[in-house]
Amino acid sequence: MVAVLAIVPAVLPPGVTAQPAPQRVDMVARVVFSLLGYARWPAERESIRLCVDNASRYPARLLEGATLGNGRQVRPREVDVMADPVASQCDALYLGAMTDVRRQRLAAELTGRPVLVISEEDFECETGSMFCLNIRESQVSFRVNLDALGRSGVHVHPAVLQLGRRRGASS
Amino acid sequence: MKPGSRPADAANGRQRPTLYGALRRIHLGVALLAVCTAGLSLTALGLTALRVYADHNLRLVARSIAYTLEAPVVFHDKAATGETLALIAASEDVSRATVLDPDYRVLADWQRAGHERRDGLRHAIGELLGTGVIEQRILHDAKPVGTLRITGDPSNLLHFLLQGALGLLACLLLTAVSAHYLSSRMLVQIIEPLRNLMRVAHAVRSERDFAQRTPPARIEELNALGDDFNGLLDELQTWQNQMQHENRSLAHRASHDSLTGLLNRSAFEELLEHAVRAAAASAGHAAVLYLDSDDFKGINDRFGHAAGDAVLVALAQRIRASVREGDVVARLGGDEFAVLTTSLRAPADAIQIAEQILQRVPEPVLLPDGSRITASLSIGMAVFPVHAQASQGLLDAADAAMYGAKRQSGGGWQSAEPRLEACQHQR
Repeated sequence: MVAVLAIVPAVLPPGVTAQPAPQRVDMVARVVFSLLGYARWPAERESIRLCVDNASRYPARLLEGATLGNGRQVRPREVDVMADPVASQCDALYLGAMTDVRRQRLAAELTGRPVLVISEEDFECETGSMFCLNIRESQVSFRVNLDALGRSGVHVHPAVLQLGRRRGASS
Repeated sequence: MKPGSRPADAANGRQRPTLYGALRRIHLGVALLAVCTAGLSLTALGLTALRVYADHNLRLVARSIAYTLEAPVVFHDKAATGETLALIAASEDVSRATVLDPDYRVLADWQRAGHERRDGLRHAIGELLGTGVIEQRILHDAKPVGTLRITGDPSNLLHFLLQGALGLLACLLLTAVSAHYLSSRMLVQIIEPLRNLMRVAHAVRSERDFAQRTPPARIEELNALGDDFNGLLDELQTWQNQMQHENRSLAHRASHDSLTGLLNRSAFEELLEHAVRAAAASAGHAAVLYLDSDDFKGINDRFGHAAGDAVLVALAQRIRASVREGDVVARLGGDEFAVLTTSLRAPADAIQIAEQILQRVPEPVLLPDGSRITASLSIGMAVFPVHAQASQGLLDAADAAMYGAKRQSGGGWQSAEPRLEACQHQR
């Protein structure tokens, strides 16, 4: 028993090194909620329906929901992107990693719909996704796909676009 | 002559200030006071305004940075925050800018290159000018998402202040110089006429020079004063001339005979006294000729007093013409004349003078009624130191000799004893 207790400290460090994960979850949630705060939909609603891909890596905090700076509620919902009809039931969509085929299919479905698509892992950020996160050790930044954003009809504050473009230009 | 060195001032012991000095000191004082008052109040006003504007400007800069930083701070994007912050702050008068998140952790910090160490003076001036530290909240949808803390950079302000101070100083200097120039010009216009007045008054008082006049002045009152002064001088000059003229005529009348214009008895006796003393001192001679008209009473009786006067005038002219310029001719009274001569080489030379006179006398005298008569003279002579040692004795001796000449025949001359002709013949 004593030996087990003695081992515990030795075991703990790996757990501590895994500690950044909750922080990253926080940072992702902050960026996603901030983006939602800066976005305006053609038809305004009391609350924002945020659909979170069940294949994403950092959905924990997102699914807790939040109240945005402008007072709007974010109502999160976990969805299966391939099965559920996201285009009509979501104002915003948080995507995890997916194949290009799936991404293109989804893009075709969402084209022309006011849905803000945020991708967790999409380095090209050319098809479908409007904001593509770049999650690093201590900083979560994003790129912006102006074409997709323009087509969707969702308005995003220019300061945010500038932030995304600047990041895109530098990376 | 320097007017300040009057005896009164010398007695006073200390130098009185001149009008120029006094006015100049007052002008200088007034100019300095005005310039300093204006300069100080302008400086104070300018500094206050500058301080307000600097503070306002810093707040404006803070607001604009805060607005621009909103999105980067919301996203906690340190790199973007830092870059944006540096981009804006570098072009403004900011020496340090820090962005903090709501928990007061530093998101970005920017510092102007070369300003890491704020020296005491710069800091003090920064405090004084109100460019201290300013905090500005960064808002997103009316909710604070962070705090911007910026510190003003007083370098540019200091530079501007320095230039302003130099400009102000130059202006003050220019003002002082022009005030000095104008004051000098005015002073000259006031002082110069007064100095002229003083110079003329002094010349009149000490040298009796009534001919001096003050030149016209540019300033009305001083010009009027000078004109009146000149008028007064004109009157004084006229008065002085008149008095001198009267004095001369009075003196002339006191010493001269009014009919013939010759010296009178008292003047003659005075001159004789001088001549005898001078001759005694220089071992020279002084001869007195006593002349008396023969039968003058008869002329008066027969032809009237006007004829008698005409004869006297004619005799006086002839006697004057017969002697040398330096000899003294006088009318002693009635028909008696006297000649005093000191230019003798020898006592006997007096005989020549008597004979020269007698040569001219026989010419007829033109009377007022047109008729002519012939007058004659008897001459008695005495020479110092031969006949007398004093003036009165000399005159008496000559008088006595004249009577001797009259007793002999009239119209001739006779010397007092010892006879001069004897001396002449002895030679």
